[in-house]
Amino acid sequence: MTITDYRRWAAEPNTAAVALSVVIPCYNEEWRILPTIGAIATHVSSMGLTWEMVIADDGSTDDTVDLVRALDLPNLKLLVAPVNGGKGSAVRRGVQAAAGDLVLLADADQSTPIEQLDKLKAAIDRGGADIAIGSRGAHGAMTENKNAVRKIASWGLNRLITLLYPLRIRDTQCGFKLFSGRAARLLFDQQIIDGFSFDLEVLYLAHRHGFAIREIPVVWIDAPGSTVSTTKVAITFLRDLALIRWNEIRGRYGASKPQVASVL
Amino acid sequence: MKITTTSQGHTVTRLEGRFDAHKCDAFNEHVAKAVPGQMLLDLSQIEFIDSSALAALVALSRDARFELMIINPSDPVRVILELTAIDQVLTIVETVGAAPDREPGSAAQGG
Repeated sequence: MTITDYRRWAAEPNTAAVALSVVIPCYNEEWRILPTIGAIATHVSSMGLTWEMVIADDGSTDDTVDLVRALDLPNLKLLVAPVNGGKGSAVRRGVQAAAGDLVLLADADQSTPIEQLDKLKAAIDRGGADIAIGSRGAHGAMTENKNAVRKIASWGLNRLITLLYPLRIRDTQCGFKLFSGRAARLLFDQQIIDGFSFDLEVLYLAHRHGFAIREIPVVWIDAPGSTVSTTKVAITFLRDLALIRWNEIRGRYGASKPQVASVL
Repeated sequence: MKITTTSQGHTVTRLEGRFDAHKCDAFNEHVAKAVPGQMLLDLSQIEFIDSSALAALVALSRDARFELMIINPSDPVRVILELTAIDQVLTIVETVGAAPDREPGSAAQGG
């Protein structure tokens, strides 16, 4: 029974090894974070595995931290940053604190409903994938409420990525990604970019290490109250595309590893 | 989000799907057309409810024209209502049968 499973998770600290960590970066999400925590906790508690939630706050100036702290949930780790460092920095801290054999990155707005986790997990459980990423561009994906400007911007940026990088991935930016624990910890130890382009950087590093990546079509709903402007996203992203190249040239990602698997 | 209304003894409005900010206008339009009095909202088929929708429910609970009761919320909704403490301000019953009988157009006294 779902509600019983949730109540047990909400009351009793985990004693077994953590199978799944759900990492949620957030910045000024006082309006959205509690429903997201509720939705995720309800669904994941019913999956029959030992799991934890990691809220990686990125220097929120609203009541996000107080609201989460007040829940006093024993299997929720709250990480608080003194200043806003960027989504990439928050995710990195969250992953480094995660103990799970699998690590899910999810956004604070539930734009990808948590039920989509089942498909990503199945892709990794079947074998052949170290990373399963939610994709709004893969065949079978459904998006709702995405405005025209964002659609055009996403298409343009994804085309540019395809041209510049050896990544045959249609959607690098969907915030719903599931990693094996080994892949997550290795990649986020190397990952440098603090902003939201970290998604592309992590996938680039994953390809570089030969991790197998599966792109899984997901339902995605444009949640109102986005804190990001489309123009700013595009400009910053273009800058970071060049930055990843420059980091590679300067050897900041370490020596290349032989390619042992291809991006699926 | 689908909104359907059935009347068998009690008039019950059933919401299905995701109740979020995009659906609040449709919900408020439905409320604007509703007969004042007891309003039974069946949330058993709601997959997710966000803060905008919660605010719409709280506003409705404070509307003197209506006596709002939430019927059998789904597990995700139940948990979200608890985490936000909104379960303390809404009347929640498990079945339609648990709702008191009211004459059409009347609400509970006081409140």
